Amino acid sequence: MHPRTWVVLSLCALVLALMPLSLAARVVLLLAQLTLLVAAGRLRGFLLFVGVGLGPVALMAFLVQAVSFSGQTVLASWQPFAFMTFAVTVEGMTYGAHLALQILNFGTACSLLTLLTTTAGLRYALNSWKVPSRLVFLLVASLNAPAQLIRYIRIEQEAARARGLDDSSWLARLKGNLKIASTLFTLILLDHQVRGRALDYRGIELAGQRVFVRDYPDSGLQRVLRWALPLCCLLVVLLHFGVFRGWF
Amino acid sequence: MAGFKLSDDALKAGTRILLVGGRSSGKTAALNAVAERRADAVLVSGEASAQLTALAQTVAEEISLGIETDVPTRADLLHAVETTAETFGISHLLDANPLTLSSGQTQLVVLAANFIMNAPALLLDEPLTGLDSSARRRVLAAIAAYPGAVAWTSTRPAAEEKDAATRVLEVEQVWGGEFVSGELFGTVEPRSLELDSLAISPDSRPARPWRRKAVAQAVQENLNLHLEPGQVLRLVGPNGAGKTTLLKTIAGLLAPVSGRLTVGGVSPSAVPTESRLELACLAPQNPSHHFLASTVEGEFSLGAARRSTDAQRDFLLEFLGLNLSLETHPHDLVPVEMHLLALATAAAARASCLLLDEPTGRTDARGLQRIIELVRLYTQAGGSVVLATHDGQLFDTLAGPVLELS
Repeated sequence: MHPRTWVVLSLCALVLALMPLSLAARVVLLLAQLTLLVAAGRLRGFLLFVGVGLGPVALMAFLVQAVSFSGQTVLASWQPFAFMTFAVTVEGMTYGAHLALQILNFGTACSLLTLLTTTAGLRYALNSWKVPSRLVFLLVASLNAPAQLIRYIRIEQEAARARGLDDSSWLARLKGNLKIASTLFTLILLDHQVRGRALDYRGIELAGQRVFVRDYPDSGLQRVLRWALPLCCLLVVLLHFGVFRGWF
Repeated sequence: MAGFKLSDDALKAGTRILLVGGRSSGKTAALNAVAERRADAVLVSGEASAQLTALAQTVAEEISLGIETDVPTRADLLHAVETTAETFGISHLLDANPLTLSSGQTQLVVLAANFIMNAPALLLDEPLTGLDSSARRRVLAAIAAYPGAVAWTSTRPAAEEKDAATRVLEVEQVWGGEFVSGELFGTVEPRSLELDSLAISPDSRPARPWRRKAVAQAVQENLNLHLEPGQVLRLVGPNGAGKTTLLKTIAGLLAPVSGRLTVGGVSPSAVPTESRLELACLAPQNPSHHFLASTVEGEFSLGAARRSTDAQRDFLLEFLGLNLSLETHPHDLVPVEMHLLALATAAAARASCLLLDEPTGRTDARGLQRIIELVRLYTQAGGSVVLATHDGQLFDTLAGPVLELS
């Protein structure tokens, strides 16, 4: 799909993720996003993101609400100390599920942007909408930052292996990774300085219309979708805030 | 410290100025001064991989980034990119990911990305570092044909480089220095290196309990070699041929795709780290990616470098001219000193096989001599050396078998 379509899809998903939807609606939104990721062949990358970051955060949010929300229907309770009572309630689990799904939906919407568009595609899309060059660079560089961090981590880990740092056990590897953390930071800063100068020379922040090497195929259906989706999102928002109450 | 001064009058369209000097002669400082003074100058300096924007998926996008606002149509952009790529001999890389290229290829991409902008003044810091002879000729031809002014630095320029310049500013370099006794260097366990129908790939990482070995596409196949202790193998080939990949495979950082590779009968990629570093140790081409400590002295307290005694470490540091920089952060060293420090820590590991990847990049005459003598000391101590190089002086000075990767 055209980069503009992916950007619109992910922005709409972001808006919907922040809306106070019903549980069923949240599940449908999550499944719809997962379907897009599967169709684009990027589910593995997304699952890695879920496993490392998104999943634990969502799970923690669910658990906290499940045991501490003041609900009426108590399923189980536990009092580790006299002043502390944990009660798993139906209301707590429901609220926790809402929060967890909201976190998952938000993170998945961000993944649609990072996993389904390349940095070049994102630059193309944002430039075609006449977003200021400096803002384009900031957005693209930010989204590209995790990939760059992973690249630098691999460079430092290879250096550690080449130098013979102990990796005979998980504890030794952990100590080795902590040791390389400061040099990793130094290397990133130094390269960032050189890269910043190079980007300046290349005119990355120059205003004006840009011509790109790659041309992305577009279609009438995608153009319609890029209008229809935001309108539908707007409709959902307005409906939620009761703008059309009393019309029907 | 001698100094170079480049006036704006000297940098007129069509001038080609070559600055020649050794360590700390002020070549880079002169270019930096011009870059600060002139808003229309473009300076290409620093690690090539750091100069990639990391915003491009392909080499074509990387090269085109600087002229996206200058050309009216996509056809014009593509024509400019293809012409520039042809000039630098990297047309076959236009669809490649810039972050997966070899060091020499990356250097060519960075040069192409800056040449295409046709800035009035182009300042290049050691632009020929790490390039094979064909690539060097192409870059010099591009310099000669550049419409604006070009000033570039070189530590040890070949005749063709001086011929390409309209003016050469030179600080005399000091050769010579006494031969140093190798007694303090100690001995190295002698082991022979064997390659038998070896195929290598940069994507072939050794299998681990938590990671199975990936299926990798070989970049070189059917490599055969027998290297005895005390020998120096000179590894040559064009940029991107797989020299660094071969060195990393010998070091055990990559696994062979197929075939056999042993040092003293043992496969380096199949043994634990401690044992692996007894077999082979690599001094990488990009030393800034190699340092893990916050001081020069600290680099010798990490990993296999601890195998050397304090006396042996002090000998290495003094021999390579780093003994006055013990408290210096490795990243604060000048590029030639970074190369020497990486070499020193690799030599301190006292592995049977010392692997050097382009050790003389940006090295001045004295540094080159020291490296040559260190290689001799290492082989006399019982070790073997595998040396990947485009440096003609280094290649001609050292004797031994040659393995050419095509």
